[in-house]
Amino acid sequence: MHILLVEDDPDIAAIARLALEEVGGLEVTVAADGRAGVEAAHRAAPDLAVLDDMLPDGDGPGTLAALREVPGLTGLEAVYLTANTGDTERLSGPGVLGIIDKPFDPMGLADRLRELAGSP
Amino acid sequence: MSERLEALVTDYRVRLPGRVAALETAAERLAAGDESAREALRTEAHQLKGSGASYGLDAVSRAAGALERAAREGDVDAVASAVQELRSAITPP
Repeated sequence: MHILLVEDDPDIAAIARLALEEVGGLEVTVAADGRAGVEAAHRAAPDLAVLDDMLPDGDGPGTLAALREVPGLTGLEAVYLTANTGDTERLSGPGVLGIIDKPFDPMGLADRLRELAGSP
Repeated sequence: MSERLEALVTDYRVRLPGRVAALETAAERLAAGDESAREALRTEAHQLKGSGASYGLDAVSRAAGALERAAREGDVDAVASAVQELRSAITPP
């Protein structure tokens, strides 16, 4: 499974990437904002987007909409990362598999994503 | 823990005192009436809240969460006490 992680906090991006790659054995592409995420998505062809909900250039749902404009990614599924509780309703939508609260346990992150994606 | 993970956690912990010192300065500015310090406090506290426990520092996330709330509400006393709590959270006993 190839994950596109869009997260602007370098500390969270670094530990999430390491956890997903080393613990989870997943392929990960990291981008620091929505625009970089869209650019990366053209090359990476991700299976799942993991999106911070508070990016410098937009929120999670806006970023997901932009990613879905990329050819081949119309049905891209996503999981949101948020440190704000109570946003469940705003973040729900088609193809949104779940919301992971920050801070998260890096050791369990890959398993959590696999569980949400229904992927072995 | 892998070497890469260990290095990442060490690097995060080494940078924390500087980040907390910046928050202390911002809290002092707010106490002196500089309202512009509020947004800086809120943003930085939000980030620390989101990353602390992922780096094994649960107390940092808790104190930063309290600081974010206090900064959002503009409660100068609560800001001061949350910053103090944050300082204790990163100071070895």
